[in-house]
Amino acid sequence: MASSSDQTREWHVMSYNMETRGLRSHTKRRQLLDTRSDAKTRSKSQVTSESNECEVNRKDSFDRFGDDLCQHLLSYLALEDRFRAECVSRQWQRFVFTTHKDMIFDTSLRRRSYEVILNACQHVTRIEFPDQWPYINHLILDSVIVNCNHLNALHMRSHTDISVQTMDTFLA
Amino acid sequence: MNGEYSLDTTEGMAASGDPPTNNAVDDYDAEEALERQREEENKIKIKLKSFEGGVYECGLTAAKMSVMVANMLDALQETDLTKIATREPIPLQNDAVTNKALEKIVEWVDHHWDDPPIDPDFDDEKERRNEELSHWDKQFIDIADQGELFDIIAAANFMDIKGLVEVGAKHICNKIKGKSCTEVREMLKIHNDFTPEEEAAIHKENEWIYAKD
Repeated sequence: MASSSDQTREWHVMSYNMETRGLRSHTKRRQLLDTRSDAKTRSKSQVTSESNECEVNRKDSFDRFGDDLCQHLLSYLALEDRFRAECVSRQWQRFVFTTHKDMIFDTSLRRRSYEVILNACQHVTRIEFPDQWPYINHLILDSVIVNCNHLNALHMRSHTDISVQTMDTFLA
Repeated sequence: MNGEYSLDTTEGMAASGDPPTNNAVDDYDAEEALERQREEENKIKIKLKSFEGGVYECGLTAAKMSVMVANMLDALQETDLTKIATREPIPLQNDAVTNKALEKIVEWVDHHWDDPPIDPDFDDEKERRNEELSHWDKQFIDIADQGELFDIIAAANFMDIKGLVEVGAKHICNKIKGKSCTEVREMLKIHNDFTPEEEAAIHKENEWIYAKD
């Protein structure tokens, strides 16, 4: 039976090993956080009053989260909220759209909105177009081809004629 | 007594290697056996130690919802699980794991220990993502002190408890819903690092997308 101090050391060694073996990316995240806050302190040193305020609020500020966690936390946002949230901060802007994987279009949007949305959400893996949607044409499909390289499912039913050529490019 | 708690994997392996007769019955039995084993294991209490030094007791199955704790326990290669209960508390060395945060985390895993495990490759994943939080989870995560809430989320992320991180994420996204970026910034105390011109440009680009005719 190992003595209690041995056991404690064993836990410590173990958690250290896990970090070095990369079982968690926590260390990486921590470093990221550190560099981020370094940069922040540097930029803040010019404006001292603001920097004090920042110190006090550090724990209850969303800025404490590193990129990975922040991205995950925001992955549950609805598309409409993502467009509003894009201008919250540069960190948010970088990935507020990358986690939108599943897109269901409804008929209330205007035609040009679709192109902007498709352009923003390039990581989407599945798109669903409404049935008998009048806008579906080669332009929309073209922007799907151009923008959505991660797509693996597309649901649509169209009564408009789509040229054979468009479908060929699309399926290729 | 000791043998009762020990991990018996040989039985499960033998069952899966059997010829495919009565498969459904075997599967059902295996599932039930696993459930019983999880239940028994959860009666073993292990100790977790916060960054601030507070020690909290937690069922073994519940504690293993933390992938980090589960990995540490696996690395021990201890076949007699009752011995784990007598060990020194497991130190959780991240400043987000405060006493308050760990107390809440233990409360959460103790309530959720018999949840089905989260499998990202599973077909129901999408459905689960879109599911609303349960009443219990909503009450659990509705914490007035934002510093404490963020501690819990950061600690759950450090301990790799996917279900709890998801609860936190859904809670925050619910709060963001319908708010303008200024309101979001104020609520989550985010530093605005855009110039006014850049912000105006993004606004201009985005505001018409959902505008009604």
